[in-house]
Amino acid sequence: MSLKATLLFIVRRLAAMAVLMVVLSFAVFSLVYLAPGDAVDALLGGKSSTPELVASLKEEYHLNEPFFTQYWIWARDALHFDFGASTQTTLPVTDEIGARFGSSVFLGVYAYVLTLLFGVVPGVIAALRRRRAVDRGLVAGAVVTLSTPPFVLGILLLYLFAVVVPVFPAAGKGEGFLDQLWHLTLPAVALALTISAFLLRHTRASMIGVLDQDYVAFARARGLASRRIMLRYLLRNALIPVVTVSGVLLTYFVTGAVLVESTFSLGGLGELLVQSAESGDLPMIQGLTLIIAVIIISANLLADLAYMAIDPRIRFERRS
Amino acid sequence: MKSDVSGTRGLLRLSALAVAGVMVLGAAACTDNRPDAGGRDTHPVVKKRSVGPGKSVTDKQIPQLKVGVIGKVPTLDPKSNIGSGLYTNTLGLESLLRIGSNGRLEPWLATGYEQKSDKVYEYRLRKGVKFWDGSELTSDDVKYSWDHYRFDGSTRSRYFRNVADISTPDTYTVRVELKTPDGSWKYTPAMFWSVIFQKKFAQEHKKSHGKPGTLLVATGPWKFDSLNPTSGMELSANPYYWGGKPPIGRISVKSYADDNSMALALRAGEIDLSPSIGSPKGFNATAGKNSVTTVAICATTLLSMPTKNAPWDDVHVRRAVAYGLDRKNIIASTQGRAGAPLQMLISPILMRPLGSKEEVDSALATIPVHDHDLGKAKAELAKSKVPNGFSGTFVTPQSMAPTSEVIVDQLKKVGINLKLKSMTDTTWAALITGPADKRPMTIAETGACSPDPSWDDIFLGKANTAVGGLNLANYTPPEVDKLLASGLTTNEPKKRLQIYTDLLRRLGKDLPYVPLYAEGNHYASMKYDIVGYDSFWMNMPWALNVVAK
Repeated sequence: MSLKATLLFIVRRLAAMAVLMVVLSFAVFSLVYLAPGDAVDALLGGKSSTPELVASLKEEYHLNEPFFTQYWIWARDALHFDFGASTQTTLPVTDEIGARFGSSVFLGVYAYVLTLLFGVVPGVIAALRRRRAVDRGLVAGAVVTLSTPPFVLGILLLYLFAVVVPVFPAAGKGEGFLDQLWHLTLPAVALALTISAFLLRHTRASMIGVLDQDYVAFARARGLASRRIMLRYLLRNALIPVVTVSGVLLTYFVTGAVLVESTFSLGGLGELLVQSAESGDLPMIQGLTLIIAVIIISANLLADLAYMAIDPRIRFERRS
Repeated sequence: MKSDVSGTRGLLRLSALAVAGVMVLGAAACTDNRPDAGGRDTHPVVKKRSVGPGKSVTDKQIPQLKVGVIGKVPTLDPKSNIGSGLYTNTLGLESLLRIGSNGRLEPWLATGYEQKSDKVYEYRLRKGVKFWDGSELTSDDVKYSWDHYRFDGSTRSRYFRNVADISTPDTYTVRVELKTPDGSWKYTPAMFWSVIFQKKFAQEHKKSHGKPGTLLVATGPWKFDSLNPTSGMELSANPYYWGGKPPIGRISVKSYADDNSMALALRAGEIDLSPSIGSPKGFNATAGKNSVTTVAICATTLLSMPTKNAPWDDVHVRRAVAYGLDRKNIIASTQGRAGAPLQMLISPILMRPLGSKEEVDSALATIPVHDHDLGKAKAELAKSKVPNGFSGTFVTPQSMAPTSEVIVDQLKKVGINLKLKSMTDTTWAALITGPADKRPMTIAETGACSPDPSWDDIFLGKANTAVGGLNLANYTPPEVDKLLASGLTTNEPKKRLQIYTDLLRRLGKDLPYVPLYAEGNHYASMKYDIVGYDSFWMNMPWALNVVAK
């Protein structure tokens, strides 16, 4: 696929993303009116009201304007990352999200890398040692890990590595790259283990499928080096399904790690979303929904680009 | 210090928050380390502060104290929702007075106050009190701080709603004029909702005052160096502190999501102390070494019955319930949250300032009590309109479901078969503060209290049957409303003692509520104790009271 075609693809996806965001933002804004009670009740977030507070909210959120005017003002502010103030903490929504965004992304990427490490490598080994003790041991381990919720693993890891052998901190997310790496190791491992067990089985099955292909047998017959066969013929094909789920995985790690965030007191985006939903903090829910939508769309775009890079069939399909 | 006055209902909404949300703060719980229940009167928590205002109770210096709190601190600005800053703000922000032993007021930033009339109070500021930047505290700072809480969308305006005017006759005098005589006002300048910050800094940072990155300037023994709303804060000793060198060099506060992760952190040595935890038994099980200390406080847990709906409108039914309940087993079900059994709506702690120990004790001895007695319970039910028993619904917030199950089981033995309906705390709070005639039989932990007996007015009176009010039992005798009004407008302590004793007698007779237990405050540490840890510990810079175990 030429560079021009790739750029065209990206531009098309970005345009689709923009349209999707407009539709989504409209739905998110409408939450103010879809929530029980009127718009003021929704923005009060369960707090008791006074006439002064109601008047102040109406002015701040332009509630006396027509609906579409309100949406336009809100969307314009949202474009500048201004979602108003949290009804619970009274801090700007952007500040609250910003304080958590970096560590959530760090944790997500860290867990994703560990997932690949713990999932793909043992998966390949299990496939290459099919029906041997190593294979059976790895698959059995994967079943056990797959059956254990991440927060249970988290508590176990905390007890082992923060209390019994205190090599990692029990809570917190740290500051700076190395400190964050140290603080987020246990949470990332807890998040990664369950998913990597799933990935191990996925990779093993995919690898076994590729190992049985004629082109692999032919490559061996041609006397190609094992390393070349592994990298160009086996892994490249076996990892296509893995790449397919990457976007979903990354999004889950960044925004869906609420139980692990709670276990390790990380204060991430997942925890913030749950707290906002519990307390009816509408400006926060609106801001988070849009931010999470952007993360999902971006992660899937990255996955698609990676998919195109490693699978020539996709490139040829698009070219044709 | 002169004076004594009474009354406001300014505190109301705190309890609304308390009932609706303080469960989230986990205000009640208990454990094995129970100095007030075990007669260990030498334990530091039952000792009183014997040092002067601003002084530490110990000469020993602690280089760093690592503190854990559950929840986040989004901002330091007291007029906003400070979250778990409730436990840490007073390390840096001080009030004019403090609540001493037996609920009596003692000097702090003010050397004293004088009640000029029913509605006018004057406070004399201590000279030489300096902010962290070295400038002196003046009456302008006090006025600015209190006006900041009174107006402009402040979450604390309810505590100042009866204030007509605040003026500053001179640099060291603050004068407060109330709209109506108000018995509870005298405590306001001693509570965490009236702490003082610097006017100049606040004016220079109007939009970002108290927020991370800007912080604020105040007079407390520790100054805020940094605040991260997701992880905690750092404080260091204030070099200008008016009380002398603070006993702790640095205080690091870490936020935790729940008891379990904080208990593990305590066990791993990552924190030294948590000034407030939610569930003592669970905490001890995780942290080990009997780390939790519990003190019974003035907050009360109540079983309420809808007094205008059958069959609860029959006083014999309500008495049958009161006799049928075994507080010992109910308290055992709270996992340590309860502080001590309780027989009256207004905690005896709040009655103490109204007279000498003998006077208060003899007044309280006249109040009807209902100890567990199955025979009496069945006899009362036999006198009621439902002598053969009845079935009904008992609504409980999820957080109290285990205790509610015990109550259901106990009342079954009397002949009252209740179906337990458990709901999320938010849904429950909406139901119990909804239309008064729809308020169900329920149980509520109140989680907080002020030092004045009028605090419990929030559960009584016609006014609190309005939507949003907390008269859970829909109990509205006009005589009770009269007693509530007299309690607020009467200044003389002896007369107030009589009024609130009469009120408690009436409540003991009518039983709209069955008080179950005094809730507990709990701190956890293997290394330190907090001297004078009581119902009002967080209203002063409590780290001045930390001593090594």
